[in-house]
Amino acid sequence: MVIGILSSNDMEEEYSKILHSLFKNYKSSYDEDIVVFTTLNINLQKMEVAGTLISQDKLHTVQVPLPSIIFNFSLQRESSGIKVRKALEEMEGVTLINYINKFDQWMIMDMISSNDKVKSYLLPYFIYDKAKRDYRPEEEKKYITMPSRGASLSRVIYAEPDPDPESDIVRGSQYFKKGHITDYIDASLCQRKWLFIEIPDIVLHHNHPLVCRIYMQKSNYNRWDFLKRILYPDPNMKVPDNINLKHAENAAKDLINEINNFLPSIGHCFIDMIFSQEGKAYFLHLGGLDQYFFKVLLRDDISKKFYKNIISLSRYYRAT
Amino acid sequence: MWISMEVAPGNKEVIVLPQEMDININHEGKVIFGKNSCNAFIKRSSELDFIGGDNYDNPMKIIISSKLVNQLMIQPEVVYQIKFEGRKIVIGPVIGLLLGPHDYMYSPEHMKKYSDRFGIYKEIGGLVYAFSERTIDWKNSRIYGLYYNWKNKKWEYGTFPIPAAIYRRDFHSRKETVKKLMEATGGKMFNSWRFGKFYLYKHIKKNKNLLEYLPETEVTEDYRQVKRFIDKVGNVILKPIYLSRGRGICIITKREDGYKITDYRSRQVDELFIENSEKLKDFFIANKDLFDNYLIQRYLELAKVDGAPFDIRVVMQKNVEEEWQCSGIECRVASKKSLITNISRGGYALTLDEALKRSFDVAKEEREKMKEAIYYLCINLCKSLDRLNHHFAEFGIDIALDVEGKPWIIEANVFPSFKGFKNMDYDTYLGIRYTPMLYAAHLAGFKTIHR
Repeated sequence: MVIGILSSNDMEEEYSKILHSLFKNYKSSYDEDIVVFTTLNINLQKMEVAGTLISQDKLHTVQVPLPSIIFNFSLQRESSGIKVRKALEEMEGVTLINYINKFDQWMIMDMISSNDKVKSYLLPYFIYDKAKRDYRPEEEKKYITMPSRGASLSRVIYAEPDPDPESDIVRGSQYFKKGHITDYIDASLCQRKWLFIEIPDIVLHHNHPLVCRIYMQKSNYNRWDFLKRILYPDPNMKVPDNINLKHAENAAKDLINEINNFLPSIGHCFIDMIFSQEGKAYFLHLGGLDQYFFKVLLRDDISKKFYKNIISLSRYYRAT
Repeated sequence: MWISMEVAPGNKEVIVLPQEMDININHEGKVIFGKNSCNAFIKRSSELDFIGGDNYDNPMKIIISSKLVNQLMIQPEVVYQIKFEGRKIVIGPVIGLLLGPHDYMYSPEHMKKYSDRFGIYKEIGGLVYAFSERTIDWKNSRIYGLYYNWKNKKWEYGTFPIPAAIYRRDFHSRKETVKKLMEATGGKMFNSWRFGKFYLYKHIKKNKNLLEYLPETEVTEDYRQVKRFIDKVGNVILKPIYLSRGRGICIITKREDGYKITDYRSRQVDELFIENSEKLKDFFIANKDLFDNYLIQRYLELAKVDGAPFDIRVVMQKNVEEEWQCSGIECRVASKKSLITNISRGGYALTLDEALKRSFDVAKEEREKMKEAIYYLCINLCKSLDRLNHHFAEFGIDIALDVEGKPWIIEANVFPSFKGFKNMDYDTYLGIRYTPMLYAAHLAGFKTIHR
């Protein structure tokens, strides 16, 4: 039995090296081997993959039968890659964990709003379609706006009313006067649909919203396990006294448990939370594991947990 | 009877009905919603008016406790039908649309394409929701999905009971799940199985009444067999067993001076001429995929409209009387110079009347006979497929007419596309969209105001 890791087409070598350097220390003789591959090297007709075996002393290039458990850490941008991934999703006898790693936040917010237990983590949200120009933010309110798809923090825009009506410039991570933010979005090349989140006074850091990114992974018995959290825009910033990050972690766990009912393929993710001045955590984003997780965060103490969760979740899926 | 609900907070399962309502249940009864049920206290109230209930727009109000709502996973804002059967109170219908495994795609936005099926919603009412096989929680008998909220015309996420009837809309569900859903609904999931082209041919071959309408067909094995088939029938069409919409097709016509190959396997149509059998053999050696799940079939000389061949898509559906009916017929005319008729390949759609008129120079009575022959051939095929151990209620049957006007069975699709109808005849298109919803409501045990 081999466990599969599906990486983005340009990342196989890099992920193989990172995961090999970490996982080889933890592998017991009972553990299955792990092979990293891309959609380019899957032969669906022969049910084979060519990839890099990472769970032995040295990295090996191998050709193995298509693993029955595959962890998807990839982003598929080309239609050919999406086609292969969809075939894996449909395949009888194959469990693909995380069909996708880039989510439609509008859809996720709709899921959250359907559940009384978690909808309190949601702020009022509105969708703006550039093609229809069908939403106009109110001039007196504060907003976070961002593209509906994905979870890139660099695309999150904080906007608040202009305190000086004579000036075009106001405080915020981006500067907009009155409703002109939609003009900016219209002019941007990024995505057609944008979300507007109506926010209370939120915690800012150098005029950027303070975001806590909480990484989680499923472990044995399909239960969600906390992996790591990191603060943005500055990981080393001092957390205001009234913010309890443990509460944010619990909120993220509640949220993923609910989202997971509608998206059962998810097995690893992060959730971004923002904070009101009173310290209450609110949902911002859901994403798959990002490159920062693999390239930086995984290098510390969580790598063993991450590896063990992969092994135990694989065993759980095989047994069920 | 049609009802609307008011939810009253309460920690007991209670349903309150108008005092004057004449039913034989006192104090306690079993309330059924989809495949969920529980015992509930039945109370009567003189404050509830025993009026209305005769149609969707005029429902009778009842009161239901929040505990019962949560236990049965009722969406209380929906207008339902209610039935009283002995000590049972059945609220419904609860209908499921089974989608594929791609859970991340099924957003309210994605589901909009299903909304035009709800033009007859006021004839059925109740809870209609879509779900992926992956979002079924078997342990707790609940399903996570999206239901159509008629009042605000939006699809909304929610948690629902296992439905009483299921309209299967995708064919990538796991066999085990399909089996469990069939068991859970007592066989009331239709389109329960999708067969391939080759299965259909094997099935028809066993049926004497249908066999004469089946072009000679074999599964490709090797060059020797293919060559023998070509020598026997002349012109052949090679079709992949598992592809549709004209994908992967290759046509070989035998001529005095060799073979003409028209190859539709790539985006661009390739035409080549081969002088002799040796070169034909080389062609097959170079194209081994033609022996990988391919059928070889006699290529019929099709009737033509303005010089272009056409075939006929007949939509057969089950109605609320559980009888097969023809819900629509369209003729698909090949684009100029093309030998295949798929609209996706640049062809266009015509009504059957128009196509027959333009391709056969015969009296109207003759054309009516042709139409009748097509209809009865499709009815017989559906009835024959009904004898299989599966639940079918919708087929898109492809029929070809040869130059003599004889119909031939080309294919029966369990998951047909109706795109041609949408542009050609919108009323027929809507009828095709509505019929399975009405059938599902009937399967769920509720009457529909059948038009």
